[in-house]
Amino acid sequence: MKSQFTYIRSESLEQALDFLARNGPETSLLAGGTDLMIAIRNGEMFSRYVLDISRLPEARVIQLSEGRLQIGAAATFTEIIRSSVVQASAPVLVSACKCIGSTQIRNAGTLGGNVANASPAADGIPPLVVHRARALLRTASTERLVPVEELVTGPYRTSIQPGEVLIHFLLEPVSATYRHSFQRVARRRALAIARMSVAAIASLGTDGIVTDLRLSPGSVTPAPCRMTAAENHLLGKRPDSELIREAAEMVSLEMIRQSGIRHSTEYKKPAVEGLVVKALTELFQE
Amino acid sequence: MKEHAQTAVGVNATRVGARSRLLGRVQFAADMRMDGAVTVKALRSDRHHALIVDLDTSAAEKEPGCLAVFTFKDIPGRNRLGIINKDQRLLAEEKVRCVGDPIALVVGETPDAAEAALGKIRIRYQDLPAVFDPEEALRPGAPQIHEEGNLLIRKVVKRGNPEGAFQQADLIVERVYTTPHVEHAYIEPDAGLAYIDGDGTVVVYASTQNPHYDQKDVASLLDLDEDHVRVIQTATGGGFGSKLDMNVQGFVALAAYLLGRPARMVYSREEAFVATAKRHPLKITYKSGAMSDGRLIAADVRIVGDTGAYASYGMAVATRAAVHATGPYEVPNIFIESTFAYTNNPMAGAMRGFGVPQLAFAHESQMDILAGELGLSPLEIRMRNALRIGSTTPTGQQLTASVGIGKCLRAIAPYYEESLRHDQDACSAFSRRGRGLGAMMYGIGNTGMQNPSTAQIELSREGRITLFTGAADIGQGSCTVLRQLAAEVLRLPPERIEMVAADTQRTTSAGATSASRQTYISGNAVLDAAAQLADVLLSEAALIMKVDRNDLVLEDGVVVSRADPEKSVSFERIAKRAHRTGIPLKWDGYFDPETVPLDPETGAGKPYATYAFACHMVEVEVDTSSGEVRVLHVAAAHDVGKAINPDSIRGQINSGVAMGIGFALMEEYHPGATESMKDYHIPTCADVPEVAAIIVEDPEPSGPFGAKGVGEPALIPTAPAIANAIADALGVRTFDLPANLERVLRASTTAKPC
Repeated sequence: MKSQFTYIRSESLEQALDFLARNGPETSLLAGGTDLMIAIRNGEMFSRYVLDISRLPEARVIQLSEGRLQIGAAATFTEIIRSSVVQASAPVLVSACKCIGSTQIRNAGTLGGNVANASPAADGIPPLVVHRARALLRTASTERLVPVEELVTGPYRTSIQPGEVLIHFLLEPVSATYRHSFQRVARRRALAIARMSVAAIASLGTDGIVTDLRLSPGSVTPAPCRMTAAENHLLGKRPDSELIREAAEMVSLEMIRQSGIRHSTEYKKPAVEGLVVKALTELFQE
Repeated sequence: MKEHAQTAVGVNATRVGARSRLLGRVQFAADMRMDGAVTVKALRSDRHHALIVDLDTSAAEKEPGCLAVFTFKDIPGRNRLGIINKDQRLLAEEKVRCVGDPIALVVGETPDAAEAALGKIRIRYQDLPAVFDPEEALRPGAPQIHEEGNLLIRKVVKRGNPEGAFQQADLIVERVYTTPHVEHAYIEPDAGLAYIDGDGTVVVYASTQNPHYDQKDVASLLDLDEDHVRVIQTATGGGFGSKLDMNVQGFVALAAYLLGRPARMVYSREEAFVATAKRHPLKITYKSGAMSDGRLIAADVRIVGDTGAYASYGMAVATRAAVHATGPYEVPNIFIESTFAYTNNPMAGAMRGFGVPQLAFAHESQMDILAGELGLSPLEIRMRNALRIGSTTPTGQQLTASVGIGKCLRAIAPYYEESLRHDQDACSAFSRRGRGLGAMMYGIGNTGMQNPSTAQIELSREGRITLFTGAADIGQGSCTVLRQLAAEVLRLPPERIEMVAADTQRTTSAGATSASRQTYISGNAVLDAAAQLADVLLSEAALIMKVDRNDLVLEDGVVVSRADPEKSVSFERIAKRAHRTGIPLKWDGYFDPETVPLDPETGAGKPYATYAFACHMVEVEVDTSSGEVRVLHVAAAHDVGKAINPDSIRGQINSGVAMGIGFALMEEYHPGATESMKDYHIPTCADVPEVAAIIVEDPEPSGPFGAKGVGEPALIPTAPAIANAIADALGVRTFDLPANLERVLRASTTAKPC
C-alpha cells in the first residue's frame, strides 16, 4: 500500500517554518523526491504531512557569499553541474554530481536531499566533506551551522531535528590552483548506486610539496569523515607511487577499523585502495 | 521481360505499428480501460515450501470495495497449468512450493480497495524443509516438491566412443562452469484484461507470446470449450520467453468469469520479478579432448539444471542444452547428460536461447583454454573445428546446407586481426585490455518435435489483401517480416497488406513466438498461403484476359502480360469475378519443419530442420583496481540464411549484444533477495558500445527466400566472447557468471604481469 499523507507546499520559508513549528514530528520534507517517492510507493513513509520545500527561493541559491560557496539545499544536481560558480570553486562536487543516476534523476534530485537521506553511498557527501561544508539548519526560532560530518551520524541517520529545515550548505571554495579527483566504482556505467567512491582535493607548492590534501571516501565508513592519517602521510612531502600506495593502505585500514571485517571486505579492501591510488595519482600527476 | 528482382524482401520495410508506437497511440494491456472493470490482485507466498494450514479471507471480504476473494476452490475447471508439464496451480491448494506462489485472488472495485483487502487475508503456514540446490534435490531423503519426485528430466545424447577417444587425445581439459538465475526484465511488466462478450465468450487481452496456448489453459481452468475462450495479444513490450507462461491470463479470466465484470491485472515490477520465470541456472562440467593440431575428438558434458518449483519449459531447455553442448564444432565422440531437478527456487523457464547461452559460455571457454594450451590462436582452433556441409552433429544429423559458421568466422577475422594491433595500449597501471571470440550454433524451432505454423491470406471483394497469422509479435518484428514475405509473392508494397495477428478467434495457431522460429516456420506458412492466392490470381486473370497464363505476372496490385505490359487486370476485378463464380479467395498456408524425434536412449535424431550460426568478437578493458569491465568494441557476424529485413536483424543483433553484456557482467537474480530494478542491473546505453553488426547470408533451401532466424542467436555469443576477453586481458579466467566486480577483482589479483 502506498503511504497516505497530506501534501503541503509553502509559499515562503516563513510559512514552511511556521508549519513545521506546529507539525514538525509528523512531517517529511520533499525536495527532489527521488528517495521520498520510492518510500511513499513502498508504503514506508509514515508521516502525516509531506511539506514541499523544492521551490523556496532561499533553498535554491547558488552563489559566492562572504568568501563561502553557498549552495541551496533544493538546488538540483543539474543546476550544480551547470553552475559556473561551482565549476570554478568546487569542481570535485561537479564531478561527483555528474555520476549520479541519470539525467532525469539529476534534474529532480537535490544536494540537500542527498545529504538528508544520508545513504552511505551518497555521491554528494564526500565532496562536501573535503570542502569543509557546513549546513545551515533553521527552525522558526533557531538557526545553527553544522559540519556535514556531524550532520550525517550514520547510515540513513542525521542530527536534523523535527521542525528543522536544511536551507543551504556553505563550502570553502578552492582556488584554481587546487587539484581535484572524484573516483567511483559501480555495477554499471549509469543509473547505479556507487559501490564505493573517493573525493580528493589537494594543492602543491611550487617545489612539488603537498601543502594541502583532503580525502573523503563514500560507502567505506559508517558516517562521512576525512582520512586524516592518509592525508598526513603525504602532507609536506613530494608524492611518489610508494607514498601513494602507503596512503591507500592507511585508508583501507581505517575502513576496517571503523567497519570491521565483513563478507564484503575481500572486495572492498583492494577496491578502496585502488580508488585512493587512482585519485591521488590523478591529483599529483604532472 | 526478365524475372523480377526482389522488392519486398531484403529491404528495410517500416515496422508494422511503428507509427502508432511513435505517436503513443498504441495500447498496451495496462493501458486498456473498460467500463465497470475491477482490479485483480494476487496474494503470494512468502514461504519457500510450506503447507497452508489455514486461510481466512473473511476480514478481506468485508473490506470496503472488495468484491470477492477467490481460492482454488472457486476454480470451475482443472487447477493445472503449464506448457509442457501441467504442474503449476493457478492458486495453491494444500501447499506452496516457492516464494511468489499465488494463493488467493482479491478482486476490488479499485486497485486501492483490492490492495487493502489483500492485507486483510490471514494465512497460517506450516513450514516444510526446503531445497535450493538441484544436486541436493536429487539425493535420497531430499524434500519432495511434487508427488512425482524431484527429477524433471535426464536427457542423454551420445555418439561414437568417447572413452576410447579421450585415451587417444593429446590434451584433455576439464572445467566446471556455473551460471545464475537471470530475470527477463522486459520493459513491459505483465498485464491483462478479461471480459465476457455478448455471446458468453470469455475474452482475454494479454501481453503474451502464445495466445493459442493461453486459450487452451484458460478453457481448461474454466471448464469451457476452447471456442468459448478468445485470447487476443495486446501490443507487447518484450517477452524473451517469460510471456510464454500463463502469467495474468488465468487470473483475469477467472475473475471476469466468476463475477461477470471486466477484470484487469497489472503486475508491478516487483511482482514480475517474484512471480515470473527466470533463466535456468546451470552447472556444467565440461571435459574436452583434442589432438595437438587442435582437432576436437571427444566431449563429455554433464549439465545440472535448476528448474525451480515448476517445470515450465524446463524439459525443452534441458534437451536443447544437451543437443547444443558442443557448439558449432564437429566432435565425433560425445557423451552429454542433462539432468534438471525441481527445487524451491523460483520457476525457471524459457529465456532467449533456452539453455544455449549457458552452454556457449562453457564450450567457448573450453575452446580458448584448449587453444592456449596448444599454442593456437582462438580464431584458428575455431576454424579447424567448425561445422561444414557434410558434418555430423551430436545427434547424428548430417548437415546438408546453410552451414554459415565458417563464413561468420571469416567475417570476424579482420576485426580480430585489427584488435591485435591495439596491443600497444593493452596494459596500464589500472587496466588491461583483451579481446575474445564467441561462436555458436542454434537450431531453429522446437527440438525434435512437430511444431507447425499456419496462416491465411484473403483477397476481399474490393481487391484488398489481408494476412492472418497467429504469431505474436512481441517487438521482434514478426508481423513486419511475414507481411514482407507475402508482399514479395504477391508483388505488392508491404504496406498494402492488412495484418491480423495473434487473436485466437480470427487466426489459427502459429505456435509459440519462441525458438527463433517465426520467420522460418510461420514465414513458410505465409508463403504457402500467398503462393496459392497468387496461383488463383494468375488463373483467373488468364480467363478474364484470354491470354496464356504463362505470359502473366503479378505486379503492384494487378496481373499484367509480359508480352504486352499495357494489358492488365486489377486484383479487384479478379476478386469480383471470383466471388461471382464461387472461387475461394481465402487460402490456408501450412508448414512444419522436417524433424526426427530424438531417440530416448542415445539422443540420435534430427532435432531441427536448419541451424543459425554466429560469431562475436569483443574487446574489453578491465580495471584491475576495481574489477570493472568496459566493453569497448563488438563485432557480431550472424548467418541468417537470408535477411528479410536487414535493419530488423541489426536491431536484434544490437539488442542481443546488450543482453549478452548483462549476462556476462552484471545480471544475477538472487531468489528471496532481488526485488526489482533497484537491485538487479541490466545494461544501460552507457554500458553498450557501438556494435558492428555483420549479416552473413548462407541461404537455407527450405527457408522462406532462404531465411532462418536470429532472435535468440543474437544474444548467445556475446557473454562467452566477453568471458574470453577478460581471460585474455588478465591471463586468469572466471568460470562463473556474471563476471561481476568481485569475481573480476579477485581474478585481477593473480593477473599476469604487464
